[in-house]
Amino acid sequence: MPSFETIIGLEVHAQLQTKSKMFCGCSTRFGSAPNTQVCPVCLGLPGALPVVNVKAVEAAVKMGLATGCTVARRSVFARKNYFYPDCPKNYQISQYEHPLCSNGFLHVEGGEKRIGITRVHLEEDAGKLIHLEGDDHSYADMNRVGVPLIEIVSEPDIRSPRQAASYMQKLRTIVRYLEICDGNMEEGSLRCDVNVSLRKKGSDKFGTKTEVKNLNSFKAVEQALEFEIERQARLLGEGRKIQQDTLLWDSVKGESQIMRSKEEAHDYRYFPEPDLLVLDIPESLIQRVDTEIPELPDAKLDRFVSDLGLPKYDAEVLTSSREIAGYFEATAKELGDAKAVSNWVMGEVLRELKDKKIDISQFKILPRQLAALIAEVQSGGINMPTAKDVFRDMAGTGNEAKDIIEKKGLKQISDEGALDAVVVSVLDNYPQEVAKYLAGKDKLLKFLVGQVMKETRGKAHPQKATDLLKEALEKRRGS
Amino acid sequence: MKIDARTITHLEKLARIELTAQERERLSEQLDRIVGYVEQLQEVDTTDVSPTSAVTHQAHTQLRADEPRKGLERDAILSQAPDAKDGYFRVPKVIER
Repeated sequence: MPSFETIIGLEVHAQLQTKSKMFCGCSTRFGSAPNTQVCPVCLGLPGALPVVNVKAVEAAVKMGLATGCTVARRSVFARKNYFYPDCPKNYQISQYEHPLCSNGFLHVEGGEKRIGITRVHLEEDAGKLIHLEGDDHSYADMNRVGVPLIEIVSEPDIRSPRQAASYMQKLRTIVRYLEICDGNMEEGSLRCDVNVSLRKKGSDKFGTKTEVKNLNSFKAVEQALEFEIERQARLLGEGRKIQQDTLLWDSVKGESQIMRSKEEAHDYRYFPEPDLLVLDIPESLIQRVDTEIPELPDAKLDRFVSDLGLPKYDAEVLTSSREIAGYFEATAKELGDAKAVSNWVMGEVLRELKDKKIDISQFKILPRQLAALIAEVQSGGINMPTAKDVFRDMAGTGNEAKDIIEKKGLKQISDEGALDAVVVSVLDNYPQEVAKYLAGKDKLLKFLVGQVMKETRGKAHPQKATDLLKEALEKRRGS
Repeated sequence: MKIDARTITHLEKLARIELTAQERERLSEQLDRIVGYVEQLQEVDTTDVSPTSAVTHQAHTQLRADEPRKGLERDAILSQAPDAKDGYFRVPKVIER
């Protein structure tokens, strides 16, 4: 089979976090009773006219600036015509020939790969349809109709499913940093369609592409692309042609099915939206929005590496969420040892958040408190296993490390006299193991250390206990 | 451009309407004249004219503050729909998308 190069482009829709809809004052709240957030504008009743939400415009400009786009001082809304029960007006207001933002880019794979962004434009969401098994009707909820979206269209720069997922993850991180979209893929706040084609290695002409829709997780993006690449490669390998189809991904079955062929392709008949005038963006708006953009993940990552001396991997994990990065930084500032804090945040803290399915704002241990706990370990007050127990206690109660250590009597035993007594009693209690150790079974040292830890209820200084044990064992070798 | 039978069928499909044979013939003649008129307009030299997307080209769209407002009562809306059930608009089963 000839080897192919994969060409992928993504169209990502992000729901903007505004209080009201794109063109009317209806609430955008998620999860309300069906058809309770609708009005003549979003229902497309005769005579109703759209008025643009300034917050949505600002959000789109923000995204444009954050991804290096040129923001058009003058852009135009367009009508995209289609008939479907999720769209009461029978057209979606979008932007076509003159989008708000264009020619941007972002980086993935640790800055190695640049992916161009063709455009970022404003549009409105459609309603939600519910289909019930065995029912010959569908049910339409129009609450989502008119919720503001940005569509982010990438250049066909992506070369692998993995890269596509990384790009998507990066977009999610950025919209969350900018606080313009919650990035919740399960609830559909961030959705993705992919375009994919193959071409013979070395060719500079694009092959026929197919589009796969309905990808609502990073895993789905990756799996659907792998599936489609394999399908196309098989067809091309058999000397057959690719049809320009639109496919629908079924994440349960792990396969895609043809939704419509080229002949059935939509003819959207775009034309300038007659109900809206051109969208003029004053320079002052661009400047104001620019000042509202926080330090972005790439810049933060660089700073964590160069100023705080973190390994790139740590910096990448920590900066993937603005909130986690903020938590880490506050803790590191308290403690003054960034790497120690990074280990705790990437390990215990992230695990705790995952286990309890909470986000950092609901996490009970404050940066100051975590710093104090790590300081206890560093000063030798408690050992690491104990510290992890104390951590779990703190995460449940929000109490101070110092109080928990005191109340539970967890202070590490480093005093050699006290440890020595325990060591002697352990050796006396396990004469067989001692004999085997002395006969060359070195591994039994671990067992004996374990017994010392058990005797001291985990409080013994592990290194000191080990040293004392070795010393005592050597003495017995002589006798 | 000639508005032939195929174009008319395509337009019918796009507009979700069904025409009779007579209507097709009549519309094809009428649309032909309209398109012919537009073609005539295209003969005008527009080299130095920038494209117009709105008739009031000097004006620009007004922006609205992001403040939610109460919309319509659900019962009132659904009472105007051809079919509704349990707070939803009810439509013939659709499976696409």
